[in-house]
Amino acid sequence: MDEKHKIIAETKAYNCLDCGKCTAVCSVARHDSTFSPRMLVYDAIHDSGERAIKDDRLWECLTCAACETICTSGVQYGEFIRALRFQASQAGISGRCTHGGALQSMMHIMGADQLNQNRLEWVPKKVKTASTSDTLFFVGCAPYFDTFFEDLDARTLDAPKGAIALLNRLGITPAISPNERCCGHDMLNSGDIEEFTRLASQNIKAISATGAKRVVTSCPEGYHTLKVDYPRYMGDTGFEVVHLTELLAEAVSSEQLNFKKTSKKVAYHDPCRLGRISGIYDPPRQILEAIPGLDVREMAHHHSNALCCGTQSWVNCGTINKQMQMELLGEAQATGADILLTGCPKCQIHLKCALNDIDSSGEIKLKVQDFTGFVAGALSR
Amino acid sequence: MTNIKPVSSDFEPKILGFVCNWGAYSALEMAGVERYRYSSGVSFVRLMCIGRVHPGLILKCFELGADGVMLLGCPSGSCHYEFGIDQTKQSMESIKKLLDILGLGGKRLRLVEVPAGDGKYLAQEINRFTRRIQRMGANPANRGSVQSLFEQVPVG
Repeated sequence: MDEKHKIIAETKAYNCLDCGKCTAVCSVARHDSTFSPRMLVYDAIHDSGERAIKDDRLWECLTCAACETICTSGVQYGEFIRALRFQASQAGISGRCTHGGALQSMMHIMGADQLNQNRLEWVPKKVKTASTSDTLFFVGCAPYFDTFFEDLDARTLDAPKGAIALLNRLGITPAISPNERCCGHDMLNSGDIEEFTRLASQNIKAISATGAKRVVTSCPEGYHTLKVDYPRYMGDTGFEVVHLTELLAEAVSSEQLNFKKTSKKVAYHDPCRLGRISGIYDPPRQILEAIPGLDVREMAHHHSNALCCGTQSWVNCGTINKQMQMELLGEAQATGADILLTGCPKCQIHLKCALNDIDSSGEIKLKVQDFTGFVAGALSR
Repeated sequence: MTNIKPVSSDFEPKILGFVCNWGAYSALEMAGVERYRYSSGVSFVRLMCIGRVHPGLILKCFELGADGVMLLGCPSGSCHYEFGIDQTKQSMESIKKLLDILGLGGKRLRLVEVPAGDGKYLAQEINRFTRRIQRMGANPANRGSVQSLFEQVPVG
């Protein structure tokens, strides 16, 4: 299997010393003792056939980067998984789609060129947006998720609504494109590179139509995909990408933002794509520190050790993932916080699903809320 | 014998109709027996109950290029499995909203409660829906795979 060995070489998987540190920190292995990152590498290297790409465990990895962060041999595990998944999808193998494949179908529908979407109905009247600007706010999947997960009270539109209000407060009138698609992160993560490039090229076209040279987003997956994967797969995009918390943290340190006093107790969850994968840990905390009276609690696992919420790219969701969500919620509850804040829509959807699903009466009392929506709500008049 | 003419014959919509085995299928049979004519662009998928149809299935139809999707089932209260139709009626609203956001249009999805054996009503509803889809035009997300999809599905 030439392709497979090329992947192993390029992602430095040959460097694996079998030390097992990855398995010790693996988010999945904590709950599923049959899963092990290094075993997957071992099997891929030693198997002469196609066992690696036919392995079900290939789709259970959450690409949360806990293993990569601790690996002392420099194995690029996330890339290794993505590349193997691409090989698998070439062979017609995919993960088990959740929600009856609805999300994947949505993304494929979005891949069409001539789509006249109605993506802007949610924009509140009192914020200012423009059709052209040098800054664009990338909304991503929020409108679709908000509707599809209405029964979970997902409220994923709280993030873009809050973000635009915050940007306005900084004197920025961002462009919002009516032609945005899903950023393509899930397609890329599942090995469907063709669909990813289709979505990416449409987004690049939509963004350049607004004249924007800077793209701001609050979604961790959108941020990383636009910043790193777009230039990597599509070449020069013509815009730079900034995470909203980076802009807000700067504004906070130069005292441009004023917040109302509050006595709420919150815990902050580091999303994998923002924390470990993008290295953005402190800006969100700096912003929370600036809210007077806000009691910010740190969970037992935080920063690069943060627990993963168990989100996959809408494949292979099961008991293990629910256990991960319950562990995370339990840890948040243990801090004494009333609200768990996170800036990732996927984390929110999955944590809220766990709260709904399992009878955690008496156990989990806290609420899950979007970070950006919370911060925007705390702005003083 | 009813013969309802379509609005224009330029665009023949490809419509997928999910038909429940009980009320709706008996109506389909009666439409045939009593010679009520309905649009030939509709392909039927027979299931035991409309309650089986979930959002993923509906979105898949549109992904594959269907211009319209009909859910033909028993009237509320007469569902052979008690609550199947009610369940789907509830989840329909959010799927329609989603189709609106995506730019396909929620009106491309229609649920019809068909009284058992009422072939005339079924034929009329199919034709009404076909005319609606003709007015709306082809599915913008159609990438050409709909042709092969509909060639494989047996009609009626």
